[in-house]
Amino acid sequence: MFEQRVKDSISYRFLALILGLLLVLAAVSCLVIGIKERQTLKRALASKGHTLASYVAKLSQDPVIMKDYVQLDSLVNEANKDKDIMYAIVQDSRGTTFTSQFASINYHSPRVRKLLSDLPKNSELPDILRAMEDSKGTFTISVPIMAGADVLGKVTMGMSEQSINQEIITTLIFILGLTLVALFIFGTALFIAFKRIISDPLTELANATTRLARGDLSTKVAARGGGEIRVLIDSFNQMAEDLGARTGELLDAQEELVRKEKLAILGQLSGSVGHELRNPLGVMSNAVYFLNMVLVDADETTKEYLGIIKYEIDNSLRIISDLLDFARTKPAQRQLVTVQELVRQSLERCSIPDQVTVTIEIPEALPRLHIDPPQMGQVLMNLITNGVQAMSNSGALCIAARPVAKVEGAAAWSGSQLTGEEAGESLPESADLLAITVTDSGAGITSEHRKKLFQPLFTTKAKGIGLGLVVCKNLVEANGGQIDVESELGQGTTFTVTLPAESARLTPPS
Amino acid sequence: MLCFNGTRHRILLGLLLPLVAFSLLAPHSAAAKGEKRVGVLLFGAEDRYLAQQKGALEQLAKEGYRAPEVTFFLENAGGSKAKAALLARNFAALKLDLIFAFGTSAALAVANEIKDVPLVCGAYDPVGSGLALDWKSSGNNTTGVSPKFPLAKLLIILKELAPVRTMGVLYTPKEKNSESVLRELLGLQGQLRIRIIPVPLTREEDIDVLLPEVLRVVDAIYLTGSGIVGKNVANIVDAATRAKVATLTHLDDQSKDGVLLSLAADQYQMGLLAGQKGAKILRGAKASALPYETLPLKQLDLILNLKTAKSGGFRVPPAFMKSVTKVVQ
Repeated sequence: MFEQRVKDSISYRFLALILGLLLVLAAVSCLVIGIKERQTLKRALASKGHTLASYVAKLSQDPVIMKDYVQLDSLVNEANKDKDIMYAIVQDSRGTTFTSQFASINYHSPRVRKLLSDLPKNSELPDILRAMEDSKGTFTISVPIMAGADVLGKVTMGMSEQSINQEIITTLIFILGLTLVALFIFGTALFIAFKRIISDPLTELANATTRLARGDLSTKVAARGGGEIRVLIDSFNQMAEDLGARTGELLDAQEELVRKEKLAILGQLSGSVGHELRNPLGVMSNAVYFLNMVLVDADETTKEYLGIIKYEIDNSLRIISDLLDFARTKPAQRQLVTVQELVRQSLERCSIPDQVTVTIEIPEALPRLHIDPPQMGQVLMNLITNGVQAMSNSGALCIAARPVAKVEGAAAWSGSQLTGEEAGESLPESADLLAITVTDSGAGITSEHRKKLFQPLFTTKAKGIGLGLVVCKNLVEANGGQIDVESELGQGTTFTVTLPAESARLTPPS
Repeated sequence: MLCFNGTRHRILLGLLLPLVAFSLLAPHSAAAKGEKRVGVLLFGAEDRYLAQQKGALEQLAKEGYRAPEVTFFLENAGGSKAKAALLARNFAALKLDLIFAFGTSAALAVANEIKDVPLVCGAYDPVGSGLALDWKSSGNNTTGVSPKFPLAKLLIILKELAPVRTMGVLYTPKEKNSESVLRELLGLQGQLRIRIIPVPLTREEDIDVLLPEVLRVVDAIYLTGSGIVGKNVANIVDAATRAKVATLTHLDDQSKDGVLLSLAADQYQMGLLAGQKGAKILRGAKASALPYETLPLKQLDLILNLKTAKSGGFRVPPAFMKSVTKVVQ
């Protein structure tokens, strides 16, 4: 598997191609050099043989005339010490050989010994010479022995090309060895350079692509080098970044879609259920009211049970009210109202246990709010009730307000429902906002729960149905505001409602 | 040109003249007292050269020329012509009264270097090698002895022992003694109906390379006085004997090293003869007046190496044994 991957890799293919080409080049070079070298060496060998034969011929003049065979043997025997000479003979003008067998033949030559071993035991000099002349890789050189204009005889030498072949082989081995060493060094350098410049970045890109495909949208490739590889890396990083952003958007959109679908279903259900339950509950409430009126002298137990019934009916009505509010948020009927007034009315409508200390920190000089007072009162009442419940009816609750600058883009206004008289106005960049915070000293909310806090049907209470904060959010947004939550486990939770103040000059949203 | 005039020059001349006179008279003073300086150069360490040297020195001693009255300078060239030439140059500087040179190459080296000192040679063919113009009178400062005899006699004896038709001759080109032997043998081919095959040995490796080839085609091998042959007699004889090839020579020391058949002059006797010539020269005779001499044929020894004969499976007829004068066991 690994070997297959290596063989399929660009590095392997590229290097194999380059090395293959270099080897072919080396082989062709060796062939050309071998041919040229052979020609050169053969010319040199022929020249050497001719020079030597001429020298022997010159020295042979007197011995030939005197028929001094011992002297002639001595001359050819001396010539035969050259390894390239297979034999040297002196003949007279009629072709009679003057020199003897063991003086004429170079028995030290391995080639000669090989030839002799193939000949019959009692082969004579003429037979041996004939066998040498017929063998491959041999050529003869003859030089006449002159005495003035007369030809006395000739010196003939048989030259062996064996040393040429050996020299060529040695040269080729040297060249091949040198080439292989050069190839090794060059190949290694090429491999390292190729790996660093091309292979490593591509491998890193391939790995990053795999990680990206597996869902790791934070994948990035470190920028390196320049040229096309750098462009490729930059493009990949840009693609990964775009992919991450678009995937995030898609997830958000998907989440929003799901939430809206849930809300739509819940709205339809809440509308019909709420409407059907409200009338019977109204009848029951009236009945309790009548009983309280007629049973003025009833014992305490009866009065207590009537109180419980009344409480539960009110509670049910409130739930139904939430359901209906959730199903259909009414358009905000905005008017100017002070924060103090809004908070006071909200607190009055809440049942605050004695163990809960309420602190109000609202400066006098704050501008008035431009909101629907009942809707925002409902929001504050809901937040205060939640805070009290979060503290298990014991702790400190702080309600504060402060002016804040308008956030960039005025996103909070996009969802506002403007009345007819407010149409044609929008909040200028310099408009004031007021932030009302409700802080409890409860146990705090985990980050996991915080993310789902404004989703419908999410609740941590035993009796809750998970619509209170959703309704709050809808109402705040319907008033052109924004609701946020900050919480720290063990420290408490702060809900911040940011609302438009009276200095805001309203213009229609774009 | 030197000119001597003036008082200062006369004083200088007065100082130099006694010194020159002393240096010229000093050798003559030694001669007057009977002191002689004799150099002996052997070409190699073979037995024959040592035997010749021994005979010559003993003969000189017999005739009254011995140490300490005579100073001897003994040198050996170890078979090298170059070293022989170098030693000859050294002899030239020694102001010798007489030189002995045993071995043709040693004799030629001294003769070429020294022309004014009498030289007694032990050489195979003094005329053929160029040492002398003639056997009776050299015509120069040389005289000497030679082991030479008609080789036809040796070949005839060989044919009595073995039916030889082809004979290889181991020789070294440019060594005059071995070339002389080869020439003589080549000249006998037709007469004795023996084909002679020259086998030139210029280096010791030639023996290993050529000898197996030679032994394939010959019935006998002749060992000349070549220096290379002299150093490898035992190896050559051993190879030849294993191939059932007879070996022969004219040198008695080679028979001791295993050569099957030898007809040879006694080298010690030759040394005595050389010593006689040297004594005559020391007594005042001229070298050119003394002829080169060989030993008479009847003084030659026919030597048979029985050990080699047995190893090679050569059958020796009883009649042949009667003519053998020395047997090497």
